[in-house]
Amino acid sequence: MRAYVSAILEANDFEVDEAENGFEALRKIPRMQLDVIIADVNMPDVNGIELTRFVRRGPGHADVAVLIISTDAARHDVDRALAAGANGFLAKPFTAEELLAAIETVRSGAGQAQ
Amino acid sequence: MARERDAEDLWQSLSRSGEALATEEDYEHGYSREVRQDLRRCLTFRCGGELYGLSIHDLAEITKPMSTTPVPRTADFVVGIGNVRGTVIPMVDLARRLRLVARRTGTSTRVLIVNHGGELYGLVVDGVHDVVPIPPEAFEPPPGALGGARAGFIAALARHGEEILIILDLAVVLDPRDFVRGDAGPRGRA
Amino acid sequence: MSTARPTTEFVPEAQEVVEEFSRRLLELEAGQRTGVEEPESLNAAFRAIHSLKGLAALFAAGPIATLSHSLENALDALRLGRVPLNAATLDVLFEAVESFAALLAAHEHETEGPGIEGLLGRIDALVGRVRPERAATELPGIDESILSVLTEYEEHRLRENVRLGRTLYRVHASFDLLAIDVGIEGLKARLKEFGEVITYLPSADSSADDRIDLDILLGSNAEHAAVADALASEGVSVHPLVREGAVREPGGSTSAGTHDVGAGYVDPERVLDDPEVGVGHDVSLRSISRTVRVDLARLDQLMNLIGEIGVAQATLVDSVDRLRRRGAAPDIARELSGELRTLSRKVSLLQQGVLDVRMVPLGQVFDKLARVVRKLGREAGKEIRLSISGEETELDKLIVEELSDPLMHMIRNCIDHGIESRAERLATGKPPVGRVELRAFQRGSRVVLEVEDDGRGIDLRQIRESALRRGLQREEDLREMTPQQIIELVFMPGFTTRSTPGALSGRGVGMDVVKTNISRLSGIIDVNTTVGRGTTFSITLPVTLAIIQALVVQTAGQTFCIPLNSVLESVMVTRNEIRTVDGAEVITLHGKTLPLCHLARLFELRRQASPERSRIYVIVVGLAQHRVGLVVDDLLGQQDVVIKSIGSALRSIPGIAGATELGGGRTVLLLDVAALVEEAVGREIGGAAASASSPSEVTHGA
Repeated sequence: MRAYVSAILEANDFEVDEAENGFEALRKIPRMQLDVIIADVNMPDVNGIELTRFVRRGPGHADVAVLIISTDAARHDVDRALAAGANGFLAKPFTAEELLAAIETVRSGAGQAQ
Repeated sequence: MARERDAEDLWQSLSRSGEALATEEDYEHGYSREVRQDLRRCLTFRCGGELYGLSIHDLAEITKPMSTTPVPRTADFVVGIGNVRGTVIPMVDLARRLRLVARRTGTSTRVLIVNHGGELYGLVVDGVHDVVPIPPEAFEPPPGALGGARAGFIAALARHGEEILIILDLAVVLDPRDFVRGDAGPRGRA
Repeated sequence: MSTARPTTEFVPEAQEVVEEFSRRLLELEAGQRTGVEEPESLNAAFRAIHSLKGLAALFAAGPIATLSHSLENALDALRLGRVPLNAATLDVLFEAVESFAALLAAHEHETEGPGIEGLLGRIDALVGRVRPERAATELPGIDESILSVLTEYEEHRLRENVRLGRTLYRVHASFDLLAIDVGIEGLKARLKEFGEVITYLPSADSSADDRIDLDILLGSNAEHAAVADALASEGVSVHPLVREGAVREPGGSTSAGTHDVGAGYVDPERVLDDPEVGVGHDVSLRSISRTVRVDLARLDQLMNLIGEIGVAQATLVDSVDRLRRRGAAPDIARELSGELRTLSRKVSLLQQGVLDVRMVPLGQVFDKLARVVRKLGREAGKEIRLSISGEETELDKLIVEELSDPLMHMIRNCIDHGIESRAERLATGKPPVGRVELRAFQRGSRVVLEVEDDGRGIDLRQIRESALRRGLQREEDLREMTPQQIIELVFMPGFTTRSTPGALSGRGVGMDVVKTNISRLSGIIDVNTTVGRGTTFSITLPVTLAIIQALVVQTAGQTFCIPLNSVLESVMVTRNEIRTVDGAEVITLHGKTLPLCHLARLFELRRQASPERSRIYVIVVGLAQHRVGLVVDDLLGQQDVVIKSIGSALRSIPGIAGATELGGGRTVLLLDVAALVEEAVGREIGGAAASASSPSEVTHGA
């Protein structure tokens, strides 16, 4: 799934950096200038909700847009992620167009917050 | 200049650009033609009533007096060992080392942490003053007639305005052979 | 667009995932046999299928995607406890493994795969049998802010832990942000010994912005103290998650009449769940190894016990001596002292044995680093060959632990900045694969660790520019610096050559930390670099056991440490037991004459105006044939200490080996017993030692 997302984004001239798990994401987020963080709500160890909360509370990265991806079945988890401050949600499976559209939506949403 | 300055203050001024030297603009606009490049920056400090200078290259840090552990079998000028963020360093009472009248530890007492031969040493001094730029021609060799107990410790004298700074020869001041008390140990006895 | 990736990548990748899935099923099956729940395995199986589904969609592998989609649903229900896991369920899941294998083979050969309709039906049937919703376990008192960040699965596991009667703990840990994903590994493994990690809650409110605080939710059958003690060495704190209102403190008291309020409620499943098997027993299929993992804290406990035995033994020796002096039952007294001597030898062997257990080969850390190299190399898109030598070199476990972070920083720097991209390497005539070498070897009494890369080396000009840009140095100062001094700027806090703040890590990020950590271990770090050829970092550590057990003593108001391995025993004597032979003080110990020397006199310490004590302590130290009783005022205890150098100016002081920190910022001197004994034998006692020896000692050549 990560490879899929990366492939789509790179093909559309986004600069992409991947994290294998939540901890790697925690390590990288404060050191990077990011536009969007795309996280599966069910990431190992540090889930998407916790990651969102972390992003929102960080001094240098509170404004970064967070797009949560998940299966429709995990609606409950998605709601919590949105409550924690995620900007949007994309249900799996999705097409490249859907992903790009979702990214645009969360970016503009987060941009207004700035 | 004669005003006592807080070590922290002074340390800050070391890392900031010095007022007597070139500013960033000078660098860009041909600073090399207008401003001297060969000035040596020295920390001035007081010890036993006299003014000394130490090249800031030798200086690692200035701290307030710290607790020390006495070390037996050492010369009287070795205050003991101190601990600078996990590194154990020998602490030297500079006044005693120079055989001057030692002043009592007061509020202006500071420890100069100096780097000599890749190791750190603490020099306890009566107070620190300032960091001053000194051109090479202001340095003079120590007059031979100066004699006295300190003569060997002095590397040079430097004129700074009205004052004369004594520039110490750290290699002599921190000569390891002097740290161990002469009569200690079996070899010393023999 | 993205489906254009070659299928050759798909099959091996998918096979790996299916293998992982199959391994997890085997674990689950083993768990079923022994009656142990394996939530972790179930969740991992779910994840495996989840990623397989993603892969299959990416490569348009239709039937595989369909099958994994249906399996994912079933596994989700299983992991959330909606569907029971039993042998029949596992049969269906194993059937899926077979089908995946066949489907993958078909995909590779572009042939028609086996039909999966039947299997899909059986999988969907699993989900159909949804277990009647068990009344949700109450979670009173658990903070809503915690619940609100848990996923449904994590919340389910939280409830399960409560239902199983486990205590919930909040384990608080703090990590260097750069090292978190590796640093967490060790803690993860430790936590698993105690129960189940429900989730990791990161906090951005850390004190420093290069650190990250984590709260880890742990469900465990272990008592608070046990968990806290065992994890103390990991630098974490453990707090029970208090469930307000419903709390029964472990062993705590409520009012007398209601103290067994919980007894009427017996959860049948909990009775079945034998606590002996329930937690901490990893029923895995891994090979049975001949080693066990030992907690350092337990070793410390053992060391302390040994210390206490030593004290008891000293008292016994004292009593037996008194018995002998009274001449009562001389045969028994002699027997006793003989046995005591044997005991004391065994105790010191035991002590050495425990110390040896603490020695671990560096290979442990090297393995971890090999994983880091693989991962970082992949991350940076660089191919790197790591060669390792000297992994058998042993160091104290504590040092090895302390080394892993600095080494990781160094490796990270090598890969991020030392090793060039493939294209750049080819352009400069280098082999395309970068080389990183990790070496350890012993050099005299020191251990040297080297990290060498064949990358671009450190460009002095770049360092100079960066130091200037960051305001770390002034231009004229830089001009006066030697190349070596300039290279050493990389160890300054805040140094990095990266100009863009968004970059992953600049060279030097963490290098100041590396230096601090290494010097804390009394180590030295050196850099050697040639532009275009590569860089070598070498760390030199003292092995004279940088960490040793020491006896902490006090005399004339000063505290000293004596390396325990040079202490034969310590006894308390009263002044009237001291005799003078030929002008030298001696005592009789185990029937032999022991010359004394006072540490305070040796060191010419000025005695404070305290009354002369009637009891003194004699530390029996000995080397080869000489034994001397070192007299001190007080024994303060035993402690693990890190030997620190006191610098070359003080190194030659006879009788002093170094210094150490005793906590609370106290720095104390560590005695060089060999030198002191040599000196005492030659000086204070002179010929007295020889003439005072009893004939029996001479005959035995003791």
